[in-house]
Amino acid sequence: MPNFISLVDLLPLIPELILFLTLVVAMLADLFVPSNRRNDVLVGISLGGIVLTMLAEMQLYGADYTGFYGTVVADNYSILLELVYLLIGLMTILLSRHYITENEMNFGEYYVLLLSALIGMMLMSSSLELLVIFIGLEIMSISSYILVGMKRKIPESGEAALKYLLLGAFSTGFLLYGISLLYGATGSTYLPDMLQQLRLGAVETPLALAGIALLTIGLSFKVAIVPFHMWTPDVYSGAPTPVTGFLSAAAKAAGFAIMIRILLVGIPLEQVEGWETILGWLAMLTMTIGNLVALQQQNVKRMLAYSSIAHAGYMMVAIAVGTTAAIGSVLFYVLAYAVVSTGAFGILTIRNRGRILETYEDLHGYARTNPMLALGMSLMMLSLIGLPLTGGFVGKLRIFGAALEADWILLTVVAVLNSALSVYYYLQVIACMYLKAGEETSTVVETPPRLASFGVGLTVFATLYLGIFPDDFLLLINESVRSLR
Amino acid sequence: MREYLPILIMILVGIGLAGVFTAISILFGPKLSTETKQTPFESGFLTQGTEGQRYDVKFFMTALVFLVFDVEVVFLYPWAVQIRELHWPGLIAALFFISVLVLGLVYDWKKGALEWE
Repeated sequence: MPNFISLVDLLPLIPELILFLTLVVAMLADLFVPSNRRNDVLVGISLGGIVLTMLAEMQLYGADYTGFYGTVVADNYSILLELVYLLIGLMTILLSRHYITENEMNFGEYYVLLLSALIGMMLMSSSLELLVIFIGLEIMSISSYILVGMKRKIPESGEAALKYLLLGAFSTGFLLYGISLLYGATGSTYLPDMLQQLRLGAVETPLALAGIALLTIGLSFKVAIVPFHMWTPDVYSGAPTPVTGFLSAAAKAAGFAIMIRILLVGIPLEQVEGWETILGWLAMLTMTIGNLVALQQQNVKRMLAYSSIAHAGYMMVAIAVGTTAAIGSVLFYVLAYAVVSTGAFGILTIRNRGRILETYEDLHGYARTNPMLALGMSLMMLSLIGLPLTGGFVGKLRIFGAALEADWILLTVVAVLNSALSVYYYLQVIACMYLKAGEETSTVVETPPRLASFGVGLTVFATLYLGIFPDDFLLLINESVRSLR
Repeated sequence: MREYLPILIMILVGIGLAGVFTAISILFGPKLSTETKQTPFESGFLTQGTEGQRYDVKFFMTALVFLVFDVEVVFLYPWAVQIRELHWPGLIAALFFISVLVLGLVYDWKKGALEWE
């Protein structure tokens, strides 16, 4: 009698299963709860489910369960990242409630799709099998295509969704080709087996090299590395703002998570001559182009989109360096950036005197109408620059430190110069909020929506905490890097 | 590569056969040109309107609902054949699969995807 699945196999998937059940309950609630209470019920269910899932993750921490013949794992690495995604998801839901009612996209599916995108991310970072990773990636991508197009009455939103769908499908093709070529070269899609075959010399065959190249391109598309970044500005500015925050934070974190797992751990890149140089060039291009184009933007959302490309470049520096210290630093950076990005896009969801925040002019006088939010936004900008006492500072410090340690002088110099370049446009946001009064000189202080202020407060707290007491997280990150195999 | 030789021969024979038949019909076939023969579809319905016509979204809804149940059959058929060998784990897996589909059906139903008018 075949025993192809036993209950023990499900142990590492408990968090995913809890979130799946939450999704089912949310979907049924959307159908059966009367419409005047629906939104609150859905927010409650989603938040409750996410918190339960986080508790389950913490219970699993350190136990290192594996299931389904080793294809699904719950090592410390995946648990840490899954906690990051869940935290971002939690903040996004807090920041969405007012936005989706104000923008005529008050569909229950919004929460259901957010949860399913989270499940996809969790699945892809807790697997060692390329095909399972691929399925997770698709669950995440397909959910986010719909989320991007959810502002149905606004043409830009549809345009963004279509662009995202087409380019996303295109990049998925690259990824799949890469996987199939690597399968041809090594006879396996299971990362440890692949690693063994590649180490034995398969890595130098043209087939494997082409596979690695295609895989790198596919992954670069997902995290928006120049020259594969073209979709980012349009998608980020057309999508509903909380979704943009979610994509730039959680989806990017998930992309880098599998990038580390596949490129740095699963493939012996040190045996391929010149590969690190290529990754280094990609990093340099990404930082520089992201920052230079961000300088010229008039739309704050587009500026943040280019800034997110630039930050992907900083993270790419660590991927090119590839040492243990670099992996740890990129994990910290991913966490710090994700929190800040959710916060910054989250604040953009809250209107200034009834105006949706899009251009720099819309921000004029924001410090008067919403003093607390303006303060929060300033903190986010300072963290994106990388000033001390914020999470961004510690992240940059560790990435640049790791690069210097491994003798990547040129790359570090370019990265530092780029950080200096970015100061201008981040400070411009702060200047617009504090120094320009705006046309009306109204001094009425607006009260932001309660849930959203709570969400923004969480991101502010997390940014400061990461900047002032980074040690706890560095310890966790060290443990999780050690659990990588 | 030798073991692929039969496939190559097969492909060549296929192309050759098609070429021979086409050549025969060009050489020996009667050539009568009538008005009906000049229409895009010689047999079948007469064409109406342009090809870029918009049609109602409810056709897509029906197609999607159909797809769900079509795929269900594709998965359930092999399970039904193997049901004795797969035993309990198979039954549980199939029940899980069906319950997810039922959820989808409930969703379609409540959202009005099954109503035609």
